[in-house]
Amino acid sequence: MEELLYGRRLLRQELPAEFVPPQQVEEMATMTIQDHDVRCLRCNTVTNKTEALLPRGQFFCPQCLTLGRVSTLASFYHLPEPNQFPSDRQPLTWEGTLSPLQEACAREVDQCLAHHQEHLLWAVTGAGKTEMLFRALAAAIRRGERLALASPRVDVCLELYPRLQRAFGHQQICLLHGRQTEPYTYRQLTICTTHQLLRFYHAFDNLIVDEVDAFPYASNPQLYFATQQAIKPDGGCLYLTATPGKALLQRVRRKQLTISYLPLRYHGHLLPEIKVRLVPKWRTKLGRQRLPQSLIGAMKKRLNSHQRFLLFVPHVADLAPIQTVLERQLGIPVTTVHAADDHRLAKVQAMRDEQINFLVTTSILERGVTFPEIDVLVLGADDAVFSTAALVQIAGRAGRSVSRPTGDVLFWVGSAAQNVTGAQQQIKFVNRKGRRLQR
Amino acid sequence: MKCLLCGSGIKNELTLKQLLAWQPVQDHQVCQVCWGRFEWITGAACRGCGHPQTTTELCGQCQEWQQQTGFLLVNRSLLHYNEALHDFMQQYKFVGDYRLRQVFAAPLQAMIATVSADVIVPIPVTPATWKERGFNQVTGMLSHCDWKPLIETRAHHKQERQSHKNRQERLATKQPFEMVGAALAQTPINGKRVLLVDDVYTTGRTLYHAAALCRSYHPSQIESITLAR
Ligand SMILES: [Zn+2]
Ligand SMILES: [Zn+2]
Ligand SMILES: [Zn+2]
Repeated sequence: MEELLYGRRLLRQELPAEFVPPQQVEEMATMTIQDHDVRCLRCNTVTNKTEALLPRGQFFCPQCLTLGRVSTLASFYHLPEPNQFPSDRQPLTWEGTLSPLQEACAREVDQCLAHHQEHLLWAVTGAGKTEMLFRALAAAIRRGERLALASPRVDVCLELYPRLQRAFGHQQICLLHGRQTEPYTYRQLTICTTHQLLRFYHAFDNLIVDEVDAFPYASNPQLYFATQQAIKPDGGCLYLTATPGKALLQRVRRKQLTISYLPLRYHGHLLPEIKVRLVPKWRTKLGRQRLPQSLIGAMKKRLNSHQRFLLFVPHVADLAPIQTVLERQLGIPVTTVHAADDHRLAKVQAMRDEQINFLVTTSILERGVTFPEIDVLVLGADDAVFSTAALVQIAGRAGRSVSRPTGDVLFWVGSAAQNVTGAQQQIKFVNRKGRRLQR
Repeated sequence: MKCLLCGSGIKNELTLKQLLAWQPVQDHQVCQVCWGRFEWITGAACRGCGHPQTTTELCGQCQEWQQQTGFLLVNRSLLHYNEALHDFMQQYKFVGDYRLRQVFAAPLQAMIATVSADVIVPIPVTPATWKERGFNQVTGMLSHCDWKPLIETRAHHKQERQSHKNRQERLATKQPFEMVGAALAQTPINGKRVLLVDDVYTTGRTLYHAAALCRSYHPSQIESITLAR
């Protein structure tokens, strides 16, 4: 049972009741106490003493309670990572092939992991980045390294797990996220949410963070701290993103982080560029049961030519009024869906099965929910709910198949907005790089 | 400010009523949605345990207690033990978020102030709980009360989570408490009105044990208040 503590830092309550800490276990402090505040050594949050106070001069961390309460009443147990894994000479059972472009990128990723670099891979949505990791992961497994693939999003972990399990058929992969019930197991390869990284300490020789700029990671310095804690002092870290945020790009500019680009999608085409239409006061007009003529026209045109599409709107509350107006103007039933919709799965399936030709939705749905050959329409793209990263992701839903590698991306905005221009710039930037490769 | 229960942002909105009533602004740090999930006991209730019901008649449980112990403990509770309160207790006691003591501190202490009592006695937690949890969830809510630590858990009493037992098992538990001699010497209770305070009244077992113990020191009256029933 000792291996439960290898490369991890756990409270007594996180260990099974029957667990007896071994002789050589390291007991580590949980918090540091400063003049006016306390710092949690698991999540790095600094909390004012009055908020963190327990009776009798003790303190707790209110920030990371979901992992089990850190307090000065307890200590962490830890054992150093021994890399005790059965040897696996041929870990990769995947038999697919990579395009020449993916191949070059895979070689680069392999070098990064071999040298334990801190590196950013900017790969556009639909580039097929998971497959490009396989060679590097296989080499690292052969070297006996402990590895993790982490993402801020549970759905990304859930999607990656079966794909990696198939690609590395002899490996038993450990999957960790907040909603699971299966117990933790000590494995060479772990897939987990970035939140779960808080339980690791100097565990990984290489850590790959996927969708690094997805909510809630982007705005969460605690989780950045977690990745640094989870890596061995001489370990490497590879960040994957389709839409890097300011913080990462700043580190690239300061030469703290190396960067490489994969600006073309797996089928070798550029990202569709965003076309913007200004429709002032569309929301006021919606209150009077009207929608922009250009939007209705764009939808009619696609319905007549059997071109399937998604229409994104900012808020769940927008769905019902928009549905009413559309049904009247188009004269057909309209299906709306949002993240908390009870019938979400059935509606997405109906779209996939081509029983319906379009969906009106608020969220980009789960990753992996992709429809081939679709166009993307966004009403109110200037709304603050859409971050630049989200808009790039939404735009990336178009043109994801070989049979129709391009697709239209049309935004209707009430006024000019930074998030929209930011998304346009990002797409133009990677497409400039992509064009150079296409030549 | 963030809601202590769901983490969503709270705007400090003053209602017109609050402004006109010149009331102090409630600082329970819980959003309107979470606050609305709690059920306050306002209507008719059992005149024994305070369980909400259509009349003030003694409920079956209280009748049993009266038969078994020969006395009736009059209890009043602030809230109905619904799902929201269950979740609240889970987060407060078992996760150990001590900040949650502030959520009901004001209304609970206001309720205590309506009872004429000479000595306020909170139900204690075991030494093992002190070591692990680091607080007593009852006294946490009594920051502005002059309470006395008159009873403590017996040294040999094995700590068992009441919430993991069924009713029969709970009723069969032995007296877990004893008087703290030194505290009792400072605050004698004979001829005094004693008020016991606990977090949740479930079967009444804990409070009847505490009341029985106090009764052997001849208070003139003994009642109880709990956060939930
Ligand atoms: Zn913490
Ligand atoms: Zn709330
Ligand atoms: Zn009753």
